[in-house]
Amino acid sequence: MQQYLIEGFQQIANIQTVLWMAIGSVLGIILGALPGLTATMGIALMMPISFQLPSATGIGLLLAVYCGAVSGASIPAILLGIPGNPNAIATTEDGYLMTRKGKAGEALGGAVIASFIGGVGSLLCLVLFSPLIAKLTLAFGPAEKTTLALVGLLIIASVSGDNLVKGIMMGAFGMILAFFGTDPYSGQLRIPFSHLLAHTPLAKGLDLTSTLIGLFGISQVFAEMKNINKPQTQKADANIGRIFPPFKKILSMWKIALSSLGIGTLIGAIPGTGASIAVFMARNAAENIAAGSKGKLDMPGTGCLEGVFAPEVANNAVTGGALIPALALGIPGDSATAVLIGALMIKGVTPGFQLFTQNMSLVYAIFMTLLLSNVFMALFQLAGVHLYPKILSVPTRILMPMVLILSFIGSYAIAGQATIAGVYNMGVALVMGIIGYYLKKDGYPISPIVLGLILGGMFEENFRRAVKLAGGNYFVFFTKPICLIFIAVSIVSLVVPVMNRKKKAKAKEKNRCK
Amino acid sequence: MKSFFRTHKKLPLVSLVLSVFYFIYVISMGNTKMAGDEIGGDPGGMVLPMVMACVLFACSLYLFLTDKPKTQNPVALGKEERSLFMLTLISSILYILVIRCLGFIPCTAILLFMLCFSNLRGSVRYEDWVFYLSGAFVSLALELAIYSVCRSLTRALLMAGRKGSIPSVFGSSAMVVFIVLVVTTAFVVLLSVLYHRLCKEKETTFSSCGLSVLLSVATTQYLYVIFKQLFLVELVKGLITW
Repeated sequence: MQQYLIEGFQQIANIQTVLWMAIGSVLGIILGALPGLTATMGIALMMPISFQLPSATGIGLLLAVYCGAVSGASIPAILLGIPGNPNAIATTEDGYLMTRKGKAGEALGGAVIASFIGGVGSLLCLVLFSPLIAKLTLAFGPAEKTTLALVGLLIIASVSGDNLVKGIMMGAFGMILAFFGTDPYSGQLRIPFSHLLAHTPLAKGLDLTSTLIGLFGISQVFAEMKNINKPQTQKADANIGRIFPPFKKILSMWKIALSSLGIGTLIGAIPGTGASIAVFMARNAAENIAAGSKGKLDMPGTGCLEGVFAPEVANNAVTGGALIPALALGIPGDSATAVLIGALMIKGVTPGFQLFTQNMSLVYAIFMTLLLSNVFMALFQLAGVHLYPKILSVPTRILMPMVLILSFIGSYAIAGQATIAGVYNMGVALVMGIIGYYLKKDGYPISPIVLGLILGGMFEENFRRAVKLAGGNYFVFFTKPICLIFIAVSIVSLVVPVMNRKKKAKAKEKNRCK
Repeated sequence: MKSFFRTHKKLPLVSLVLSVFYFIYVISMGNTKMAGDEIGGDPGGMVLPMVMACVLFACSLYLFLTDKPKTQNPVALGKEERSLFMLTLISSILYILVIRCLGFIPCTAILLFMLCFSNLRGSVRYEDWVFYLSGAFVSLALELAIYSVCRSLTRALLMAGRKGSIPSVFGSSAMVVFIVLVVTTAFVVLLSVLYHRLCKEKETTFSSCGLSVLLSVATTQYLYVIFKQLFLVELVKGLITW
C-alpha cells in the first residue's frame, strides 16, 4: 500500500498538475457562479484538455472543475438570491437573507468552510469504502455485470426528470447510440449508410467526448438563447463585510456538519440522486437539530449560518459520495460523474475492481487530487471573495459564443493530428447539441443518454457473453443470486419514484381542494 | 394538420418514426455471431439493438398519446431570439464545412465576432450589415497581425535556442509558449485599452462591435496558443499558410 501511495503521490507531485488543478478550480468556481453554466458542462468542456495531459493530471483537472463548480454555485445564491445551479437551491434562502442583513462575507466564508468539510469528509468515505465495494465485484461474472449495468441505467432513468417513460426512452436512445460502430464480437459495421460511412471516422462509432460536449455544452448555448434579451447584469451587493464567521459558531454546528456530511455522502453514492436532493434533506435535518438545541443554534430559514452550512456541507459531500460507485463499479452517481467516467474510459482506465488491482497508484493519485481540489476550492473561493460581484456581472450573452467555440475546438482537439476526424467530431458535437437542446426543451432528461452511451458497450458485451456461457439460455440472469438482487433493486428503483410522484400529485390535489 | 401538432408533441412522433427505421435497419443488417461460435449460444449482434428499438418505439408511442404540449410554452423563443438561434445554427454548420478550406484562424475569428456581435445586439438586424462586414474584417486583420507576430516570435526563439544564440531555457517549447502567452496578453490589454478609449458610450452599436472584435481576437489567439502550441493539436491552416 505504501508503495502505491508513494507512486500515486509521484504522479501528482509536479508543477503541471498543481497548475492545471489551480486553473480548473478557478474555472470551476466561475462556472458554478454563473447561472446557466453547470459542473457537468464544465467537465465536458475540459475533457479535451484533460485528454492531452497525463492521466492523474487530467483527472485532477476535471475533479478540480467539479469541486469548484459545486461550491461556486453558492456565490450567486448568497449574493443575488439566485442559485448558480440546482445544487445551491437550499442555500439561497438563508444566504440571501444574510446578505440583506449585511453579512454576505460571513455567509460566503461559512459556505466555503462547509464545502471544504463536505468535500474532505466525503473523500474519507471514498477512501474507506470504494476499495471494499470494488472487492465485491470480484464475484461478478458477465451475468452480474449485465444486471449491474441495467441497475445503473434504470436508476438514472427513473429519478432524472419528472417522467419515468421519458427517462427509459432516453436510456434506450443512449444505448442505440452506443451500438453505432462495430460489433464487439464479429467486427461487422453497425452504422446506417455503411457503404457511405465505412471509410469515415464514424465507422468507429460516435466519439464519446464530442457527444458529451454536444449534449452538455452546445445544447446549453441554444437553450440560453431564450434569456439573451432578458436583463443580464445583476448588481450584487458589493458590501461583503467580514469574511470568517466566528470560530465558536462553526464549532457549535458540529452536529449539523456531521449529519449533512452523512446525508450528502450517502445520497451521492446512490446512483442518479444527486446534490439537489441531498441539500434539502440536509437542511431538514439541520432544522430538526436546531429545534432540539434549546436555542443554542439558530433555525434555518431565518437568515442564519446554519441554513447555509447544512446544504453546503451536503452538496460538496455528494462529490466524494458520487465517486464511490463511479470508481468501484463504473456506475456514476450523477451526470457529472458520468462524464468523469467517460473521461477515465477515454484515458483507457476502466473503473471497477481492475482499476483497484492493476492501477492502485492511479486510484491513490485520484484520492489525492480530490483532496487538492478541495484545498484549492477553499483557497480560491476565499481569496476571490471581493471579486465575485464583478464575476457575476459578466453577461451570458458574451459567454455563450465562447462556450460554443470551446465546444467545437474541444471535440476537434480529441482527434489530435487527424484533422478529418476532428471535423467529424465537431459535426457529431453539433448534431448532439441540437438533439440535446430539443430534448431539454421538451423536458427529456439527458443523464440517461450519457449512461446508455457509457454502459451500452459493457452491457452488450457482458449480456452476449453471459447468454453464450449459459448455452443460449436467456434466463441465466434469474438463476444467480447477485443478479436477482440487482433485478430486485431495478424494480424498486422503477416503482418507488412512480409511487412518490403519485403521492405528491395526490397531496397537491388535496391542497387544491382545500 | 396544424391542430394535430397543437395537441400532440412532435418529438415523440419523430422518435417513433426513427425507432421504426432503426428496427428495419437492424433487421436488414442481419444477425452477426461471435467468431468461433460453432457450438452456438451467442444471441448475436442483432438482439439488443432490436430490443432497444422496441423500447424506444413503445416509449415514443406512449408519450405521443399522453404527453400533451402546454398551452403556453415558457421556453418558446421570440422572433428576435429565433433569428439568433438560426444564425448560430447556420454559422456553426458553415464553420464545420469550411474550416478545412479556410483554416482555423479566419473561421474562428469571424464566427466569434458574428456571434458575439449578434448576441450583444440581441437579434440579427439587417441594418447592421456595415458593422458585420467591417467588424469581421477588423477581427480578421487584428487576429492575423497578432498571429503573425507570435508565429515569427516562436520560430525565432526556437531557432535561436537550437543554434545556442540564446540560453537554452528560452528556446524550450514550454518557455516559448509562455512567452507567446505573455505577448498575447499584452496585445489583448492594448486592445482593451483602445476599446475603452474609443467606446466611451456603452450599449451603442459601435461599442458592441468593438467589444465583439476584442473578444473574438483574444479568444481565437488564446485557443490557438493553448491547443496548437501547448497541446500540439493540428489546427487546420487553410488559407493561412505562413
